[in-house]
Amino acid sequence: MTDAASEIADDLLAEMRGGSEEALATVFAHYRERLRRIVRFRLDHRIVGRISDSDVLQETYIAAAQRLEHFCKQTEMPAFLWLRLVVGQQLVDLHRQHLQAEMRDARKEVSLQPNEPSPHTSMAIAAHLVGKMTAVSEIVARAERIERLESTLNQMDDLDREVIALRHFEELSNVETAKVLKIETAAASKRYVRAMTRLAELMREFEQA
Amino acid sequence: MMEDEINQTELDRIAEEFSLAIRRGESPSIDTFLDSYPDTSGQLRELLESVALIEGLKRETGSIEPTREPSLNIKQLDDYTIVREIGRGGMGVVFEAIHQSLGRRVAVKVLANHLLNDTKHLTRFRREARAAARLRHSNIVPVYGVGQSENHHYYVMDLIDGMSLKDWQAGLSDQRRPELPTIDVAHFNTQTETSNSEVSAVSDTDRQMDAAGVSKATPFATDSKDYFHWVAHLGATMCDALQYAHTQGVLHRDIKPANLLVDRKNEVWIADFGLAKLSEQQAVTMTGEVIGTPQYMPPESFDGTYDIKSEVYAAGLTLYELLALRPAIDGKNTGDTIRKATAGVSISPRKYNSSIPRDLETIVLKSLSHNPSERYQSTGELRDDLHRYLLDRPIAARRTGLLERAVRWSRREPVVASLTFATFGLLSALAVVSAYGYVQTKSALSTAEAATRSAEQSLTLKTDASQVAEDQRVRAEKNLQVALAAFDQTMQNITDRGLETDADVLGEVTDTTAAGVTPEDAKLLQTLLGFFDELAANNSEDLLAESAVAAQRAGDIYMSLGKLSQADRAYSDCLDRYAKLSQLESEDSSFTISRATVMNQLAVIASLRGQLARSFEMFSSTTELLESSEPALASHEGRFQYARAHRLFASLGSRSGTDGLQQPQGVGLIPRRPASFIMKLRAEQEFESLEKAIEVLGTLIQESPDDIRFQAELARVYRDKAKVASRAKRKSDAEEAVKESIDRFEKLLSENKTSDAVRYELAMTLISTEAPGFDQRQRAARADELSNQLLANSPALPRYMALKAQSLENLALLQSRAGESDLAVRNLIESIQIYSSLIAESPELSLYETRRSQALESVADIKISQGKTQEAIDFLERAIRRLQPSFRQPQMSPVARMQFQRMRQKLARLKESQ
Repeated sequence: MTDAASEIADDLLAEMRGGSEEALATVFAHYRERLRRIVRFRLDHRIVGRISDSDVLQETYIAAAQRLEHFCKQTEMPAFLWLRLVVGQQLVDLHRQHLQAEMRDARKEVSLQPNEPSPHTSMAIAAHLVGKMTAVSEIVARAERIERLESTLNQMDDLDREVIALRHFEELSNVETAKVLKIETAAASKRYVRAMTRLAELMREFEQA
Repeated sequence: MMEDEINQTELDRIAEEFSLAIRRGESPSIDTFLDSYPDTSGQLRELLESVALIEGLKRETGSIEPTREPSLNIKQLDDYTIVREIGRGGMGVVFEAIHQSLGRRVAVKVLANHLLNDTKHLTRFRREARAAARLRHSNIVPVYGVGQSENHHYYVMDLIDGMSLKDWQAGLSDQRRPELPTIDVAHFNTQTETSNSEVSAVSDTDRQMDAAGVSKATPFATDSKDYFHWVAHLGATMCDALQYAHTQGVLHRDIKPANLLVDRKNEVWIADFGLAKLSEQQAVTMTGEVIGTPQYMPPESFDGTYDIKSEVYAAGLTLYELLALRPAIDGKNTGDTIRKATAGVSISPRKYNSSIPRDLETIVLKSLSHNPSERYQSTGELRDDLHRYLLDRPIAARRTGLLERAVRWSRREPVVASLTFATFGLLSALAVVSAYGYVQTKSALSTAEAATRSAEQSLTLKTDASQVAEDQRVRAEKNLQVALAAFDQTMQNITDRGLETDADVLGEVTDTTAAGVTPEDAKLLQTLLGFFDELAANNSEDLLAESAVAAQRAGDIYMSLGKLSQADRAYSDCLDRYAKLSQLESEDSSFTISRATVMNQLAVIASLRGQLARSFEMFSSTTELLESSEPALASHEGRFQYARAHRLFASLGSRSGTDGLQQPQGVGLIPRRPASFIMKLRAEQEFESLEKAIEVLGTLIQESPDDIRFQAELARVYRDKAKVASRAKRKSDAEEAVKESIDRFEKLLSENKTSDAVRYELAMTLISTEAPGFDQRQRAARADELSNQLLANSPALPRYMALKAQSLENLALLQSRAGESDLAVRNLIESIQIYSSLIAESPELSLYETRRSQALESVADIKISQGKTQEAIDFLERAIRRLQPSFRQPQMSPVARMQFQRMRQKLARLKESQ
């Protein structure tokens, strides 16, 4: 995954930076699945039924094409992270549009832990559990474990949580994470290790409680 | 400082490597990783554990859509030309396509490659799809088959011009965005009028127009009667389709609103037969893949059990959702959803929409019983009950609502939550043990009682005096829950033994005695009735309906047991409650109808006990009540009770055994009021009443020709008409009516050959003493044949025994006329023995006493004609001795009093002549 960026030929990136929409299409296709992961992860469950992630990607592509010149100016910005930004903007707009009544700050809602998991999440869990034909008690125990992790994450510091989200749910590399958070890679590593250690501690506390 | 930072970076690098290994699908062991790196501070282990946890969780909750979707630029799949994408879901993408050879528009579902990456599963999927393709039902989306083109496996089905119920509902509930979602699950198949020639993509606006087209087909408000009928009809149709599939050996396995399509003609279609199986098979080997939504999974499926009854449950969930306009199972988070799905449905849909008809709710809740054996045993049964609801006939499901009550109560009473758990435990204990029989059920019941008491005691300790009143209410509620559960279990046991209760079959609790209850049932029910009695003090309004039903059932049981005064008391209690309910919910005509039903029962009891005044009073109030309620009289059930009231009125005389009463004799012995009433019951009035009943039943039969109750009631009306005509000395009318009644019952029996209830009713007409000239020998022989058949089926049933006794009397009468005196006496003695045992079982039935005395008197008469005076005296003395105790009681029927007088005179004359 992290190697993905290097797979993109430099000349293709240069073309894209030069404003070639054709190059953008190729790059976009290359990152499509990574971007989809982000969409799925960040899309509020309340609008999952209304919009598919393919829709969001399609809109993201259109938006990226329109703003391609912005990319041209930001020479430091890796293509993937730039596309990620565009996806984020699309998501904020979509959430604002769909959930206006329910929230004041759409940006706030687009966070790691939505208050409720998407039905898809439950579906996959159940599928997994049923597939193994486990006993009800086991299912409940497992569901509790997931719940526990969710609430542990919610207890954490915003930035720590974001680091975990970027590293594990968006599957960004440390370098990418550092760029996104606008910090040094060493600091990003430190932050990440600290967050994960803290998570381990919290989970232990939870189990003891 | 510097070292520390390098250390952190190194840790991060190792963690990343570990994460990538997991994401590649390897299962790296933490220990192995630790071996290759010196764990500097124990921190690495901690870090890797966190990574394993989070990545593990992610895989469990991982992406549900295929990561490698079919590429969007598929243009052709074998003979199918892709027109456009119309939806996507967990298993792939659905396209609209044109089958080139046939020029036909179809829906093609291109399955995610990873679902079929194993030959075994592919074979299985093809077999399932072939089975699904064999299904031919007007409400199952036809499956044309499966195919493979390059790397794509696909599934071809008919293109339905409509939308899924999920979308339809989403459109309903989303006030702010009334237009419908533009993209949805795989089964969302839209089609525009013009797109036959247009192969271009369809815009969102077109889809919305499509949606509006369907919405227009269901223009009613979601709390209107029409809506509930539409839902019931839709449910019945869905169940019919499922039933058909089940008979073909195909389970759907993923019934949910998203899989039900409604087309422009408002017809419902079940989509995706044969696909769920595929994902289930996959789920065994592949983690994180899709099967049914946990929201729509029956509790037992979490244990790996899935059968026809699970489909009943799934159908119930869909109905629930349509009624409540929200999913039955809806967790606030992941764990919650699964927990709720495994715990089953606990909130009544009426909580969300109080205008949902109770019967419909009862049907839905029965389908959603947690225990599969308490559900409808097939989707066909569910369909039939929905039809009954649509026809306004009594449904087969009985109300329980226990779980909901208990849950609601526990929410209200967190202080005594432990008590709720106790109650739950008791209920499940009951459910389990009752399967083993009565002894166990009974002991469970007493355990339940004991446990409840001790729980109550601890409760009392915990609370202040000020809460005593509240405690009592709580106790009453809890007792009701326990009692109703046990009661339903018992009734279920009765039903399971295949005994039909008349109330269910012919719409009338027997007017002589005993429905399908055995002495064992009686004993258990007696115990249970204690609980219902305890509830008398409970005035809680939200339990009023339950306690009314409980009282009505108690009445039914007492009635079946021949305990008339207890039945009277229970029905009267029940009536009070229904009256209160109709005041509280005046717009609900079902309470009016329930009141009328109970009042008719009270009228039957009154006439059986010879209380003609009360009986007459009941008739007047019942007809007045129904006439005052337009919606009640508009319903089938209301009109049925109206017709019953009229028949009961006309047959007051014959029912109470007073029809032989010509004029009051011995003024002091006959209660004045009834006597004067009898005189008032002029034949003309009775005829009028019967004509009214015939008229009402005629229209009912026309509207519901399949409702056996209406036909049976009409045949009963003719039977009673014969009695009235005979009393009015209108011989030809009587003969005609008897003939009509026999013909109608014979026809009914030929159409319902296994129905003992119909057999019994026919026999009752055959042995009636009216129109004696009409086919008498043949009638007597046929009646005897029928009573023997009935007893062969259910030897201990009092009402069949009574029938047999009467049939024997009938034969004896004919034999005695033919001079076969010995044969006649033998038959009479046998009938006397039967009556005696019946009286021992149900001492309150004055009718049996009268009949037994009549039989004894008949024997005496034969002995007199044979010149055996002493024997005649013995029989008469016996008859008098038997009637003596009743004679002292004021409620003794007038006819019995007269008989008693007559026999005493006869005895005196005999003794004199001696």
